[in-house]
Formats: sequence, structure tokens, C-alpha cells
Amino acid sequence: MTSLLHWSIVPEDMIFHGADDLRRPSEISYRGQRFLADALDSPGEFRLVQLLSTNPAAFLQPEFQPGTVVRFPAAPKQPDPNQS
Amino acid sequence: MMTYYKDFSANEPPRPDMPGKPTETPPMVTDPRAPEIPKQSPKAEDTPIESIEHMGQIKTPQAESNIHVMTIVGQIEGHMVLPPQNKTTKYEHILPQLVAIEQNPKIEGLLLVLNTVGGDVEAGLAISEMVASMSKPTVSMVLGGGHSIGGPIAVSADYSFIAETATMTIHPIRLTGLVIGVPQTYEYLDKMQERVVRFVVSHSRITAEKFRELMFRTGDLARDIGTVLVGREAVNVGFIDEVGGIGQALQKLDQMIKERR
Repeated sequence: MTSLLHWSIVPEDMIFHGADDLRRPSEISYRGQRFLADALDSPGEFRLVQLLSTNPAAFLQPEFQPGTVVRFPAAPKQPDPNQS
Repeated sequence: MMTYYKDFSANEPPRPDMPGKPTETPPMVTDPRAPEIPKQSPKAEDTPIESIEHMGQIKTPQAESNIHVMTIVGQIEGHMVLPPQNKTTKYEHILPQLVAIEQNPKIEGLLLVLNTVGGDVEAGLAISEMVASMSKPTVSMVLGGGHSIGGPIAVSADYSFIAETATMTIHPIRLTGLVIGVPQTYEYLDKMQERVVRFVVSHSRITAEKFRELMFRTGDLARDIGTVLVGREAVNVGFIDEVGGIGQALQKLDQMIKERR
């Protein structure tokens, strides 16, 4: 770990406890914006980490705030074109 | 039937670095369980609120406010993502928000509400510098706590308030991680501390001598050197402008907005 200037009244071992287990977020597209998001345990669920946009107004949208859980509905089974 | 999340990975080939992740889902997703939402016009696909406005379906409740409230809570997250037990304020989201607030003609003022335990020095200074350089009136309000790097953020506003019971801890900056070369590290830390001291002194009534004295005072904190300022004490040393609550803070902001018009 590189040296960091962390200035807080919370002890460092409490702040950084579990820092080694963090997963890398994946990039997803949601409502026309790109995000870094953590995949949650149930399939299709993501927690937004960071909005990747150059439009400042997008950052004021409540549904784009980091920590928002978004759910993508499961795809319905497609009828097999080879059958019947 | 609806096509709601239609932009999800549409027209994108699967990315090799993300096998089986989001790109797996078909671009047009239809789910019978999902609520019925009318097909949106291309113009109205940004947000549901906007789409309702464009479709003219229901009257959305519009709280007409000419100010924005920004809450700075928990740890200020900086160059490192903090583990989930921390409540964090993410500077990469705050900074563009400040740009949007500065740019949007409908927003005339900013109220910063602080209850923070500190955090990354560079991220905190970045937020502070952004707030300090805004042309719109800004008022900060420390509730609960505005510790460590919360101090510079609190004083970065044009006018600062502290609640009667709120506390602010002023203590020296420390370095996390591996230290190579003690004299150089000391120099570096001193320089970083100077950045903070200079910012605080130039944005509040406190003198550099007084701020350093509070920072290095012994006997006040059990685990650290430094000082805890409670409510009025922060005003008496010149760190914060006034003791007050949300009523006074909003009144002050309103007055500053009227003066600017």
C-alpha cells in the first residue's frame, strides 16, 4: 500500500479493516449513462459506485447517486425457433 | 409489455474483460412482472420524472427551491475506496455536483451540511477549494461533528455555522502506510499540514499561530494531541463564524442571495 494522507478521528485500523477483500467494480450501462457498479449476490442486481459522465447535471440526479441499487429484470425465455 | 432498460448494453459486443457479466443480458429486456410504464419518447428517456413531465401524465410535485443542500457525512473518501463499514462521501461525485450547482442558473445558493469524522486530505481540500471558488453564495453548517479535514470544508463556505452541541477536532495530519526516509517524510507531512493551515487561515478569522497551537495542544485528547472545540468555542477562536441552527443558516443564505441579485 502506498502512503496516504488520511486525516480522521477514526482509528486507521477501523477505517481500513477489510480493505483487502474489496471487489473491483464492473462497468455497466444504466438509463443512458455509464457507471462503475458492484455486482450484488442476486443476479442482475448492482450497486452503483461511480457515475462516468461529463455532464455535470447528471450528477445531481437522485437515481444516479453512488450506493443506489439497480435491478435489471431477468430476460424471459426465448421460444426456440428450431422447435415446432 | 415494456422496454424499460433498453439502453442496457445495447449494440455492444461482449467485452472480453467481462465474461458473462452485464453484456450477457439481451439489449431489449421485457419482464411481465415489471410495472406498466408507457413507451417513452426518445426525448424523454433520461429520467422517469422527466418522462412524466414530457408525457403530461401526472403533475409531479415540484418543490421550488433556489438552493441546493450538500451533505458531507462519514469519511471523505479519497484516492482509496474504503471498505463498506465506512459511511463515505465520495469526492468524485461531489465535485461534478458542485460544477452543476455553479452552472445551473436556477440554483442560487449552496448549503453545506457537515457531520464528518474526517478523511482523505487531498479529497477534502479538493472539495474545499471548489466550494471556496464558487461564485454563488455558500453557507456551511456543522452538526454533530466536523472533525479533521471537515474543518477546512466548513470554513470554505462564505459563512459558517456550528450547532451549539457540535464538535470539531483539530489535530495533526498523519500518514498511513509504509514510510521510507524519516526526514523526508517529516518534511512532506509538514508541507501537507501547511496546506491545510494556510487554507483555514485564509478562509476564516483564526490566525495561523492559534490554529497550530490548537493542533498541537497536549492534554485535551486521550488518544491524540490536539483540541476538541464544542459549539461556541469554535466561534470564539475564530474558526467558525456563528453559532446557530438551520433557521439562521437558511436566513443568512437567503440574505446573501438577495445581496447578489
